[in-house]
Amino acid sequence: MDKFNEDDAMRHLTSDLTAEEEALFQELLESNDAARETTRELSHGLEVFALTQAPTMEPSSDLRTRILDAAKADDDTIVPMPGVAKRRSTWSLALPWAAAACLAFFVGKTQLDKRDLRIRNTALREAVSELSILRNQVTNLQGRLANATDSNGALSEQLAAATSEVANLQEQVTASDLRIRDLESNIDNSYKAYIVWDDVRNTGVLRVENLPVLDAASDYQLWVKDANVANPVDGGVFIVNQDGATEFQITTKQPVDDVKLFAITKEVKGGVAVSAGPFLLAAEY
Amino acid sequence: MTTLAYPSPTYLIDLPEPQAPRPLRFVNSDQQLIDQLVARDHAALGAAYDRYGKPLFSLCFKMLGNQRECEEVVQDVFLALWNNAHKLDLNRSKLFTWLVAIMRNRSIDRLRHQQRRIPPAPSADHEHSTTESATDDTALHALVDKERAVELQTAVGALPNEQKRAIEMAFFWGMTHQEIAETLDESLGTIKSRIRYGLQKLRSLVNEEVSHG
Repeated sequence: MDKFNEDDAMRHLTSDLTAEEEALFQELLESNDAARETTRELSHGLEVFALTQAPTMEPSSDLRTRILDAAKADDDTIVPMPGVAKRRSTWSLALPWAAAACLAFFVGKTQLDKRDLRIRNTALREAVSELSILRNQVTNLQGRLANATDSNGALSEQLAAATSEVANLQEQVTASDLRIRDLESNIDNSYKAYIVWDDVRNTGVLRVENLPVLDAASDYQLWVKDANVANPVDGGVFIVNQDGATEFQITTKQPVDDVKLFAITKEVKGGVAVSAGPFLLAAEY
Repeated sequence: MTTLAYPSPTYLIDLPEPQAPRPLRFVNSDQQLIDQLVARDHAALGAAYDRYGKPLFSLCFKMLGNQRECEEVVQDVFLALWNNAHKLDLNRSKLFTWLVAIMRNRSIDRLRHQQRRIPPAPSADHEHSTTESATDDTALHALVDKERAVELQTAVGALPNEQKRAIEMAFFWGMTHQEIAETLDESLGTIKSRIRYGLQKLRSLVNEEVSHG
């Protein structure tokens, strides 16, 4: 969908585009003023049409109160998980470096063909693999550097400079439509997991490391809490390899568009509809 | 010349900058509402509901035909607004347009999940008072003044029936163009043409409102 086509706008407004076409059209709207304006005008016309075809109907008189109560309840339920994702990870310094590398890798990949969602998803997966390698490398380097700092002022200055640069790179990552979140564990600090999440398409890739290998009757299950969905949404079940690691593209069982939390639980084989917990790993988002 | 009377909202068209005294728009503009929502002001959510709740519910009812379902959907839509107000850019999309889009998506999900493809009729659980489809009392009347609603209604009514039918099936039933073609036993090209010409006329209609209004 390189160029704007009025028919695409009409198909967009009448829900005739496939998911991929819709994603491409949304990209076009981001960059093309004419597409935006035409779509806006067509949309207004369609709204007028719809409004003239719909008889006036009265909702229940208490609907307004219910909505306001729900909004208040929603506010009350967004509470931080104790001890989860608030403290900084021991590798938090390394993360931005790796994230920036991930971003560069990702951007490089997607610049080749931004319009191909399948390629984008592949790039996302590859970015996570790249990130995993980089994180291990940087973690090792950071440990060595921290030890050396006690006896070497020059290294300390380098560390300070690097920290500043990390902050800058972190801002770049934040400005992109990708976000990376560490999942942390209150059960075992050796459990590692992180998610690279695409805020535009509400999809992502999960990578876990150092999780115990489960028996044949159990699966790990990822949960995604969306602000607009009452219960955590099933993000898929998975197992880990003999090294306790795996990674996979997240496919939520329901659409999500305002993610607040990721969590991993251990469940019976095949997963459950509603988990009783506890969270093995979790992160606010 | 069409005039707008306070407190009729003007979400339907982008009025040009006034060159002479013009009728009032909202006391609180949509942008002010959004700003207040971002600041987590519950009163603003109530105000948004007061402004758009009824027409939104009416459109939803036209799609689903079920009071309980529609109230769930509308509640869902306003909670989405509550939690996503910071993402809204009114330069790109009017607030009502955004609300309608969310409502349609939620409603179409329900239609598709239940494999409903028949125009819904009001269900038995619709126990609250409704104003049935008298042509002079449509959802449009909740948003613009009566004179203007009649004008728009008349203009829309002048569209050929087959164009209206195709657009209605797409908008309210969430049908793809292919599904509409199969349902009406017409070619896909015919359906696409009907929708295209119909939407072009509707676009002209609102553009004329801008230039004349």
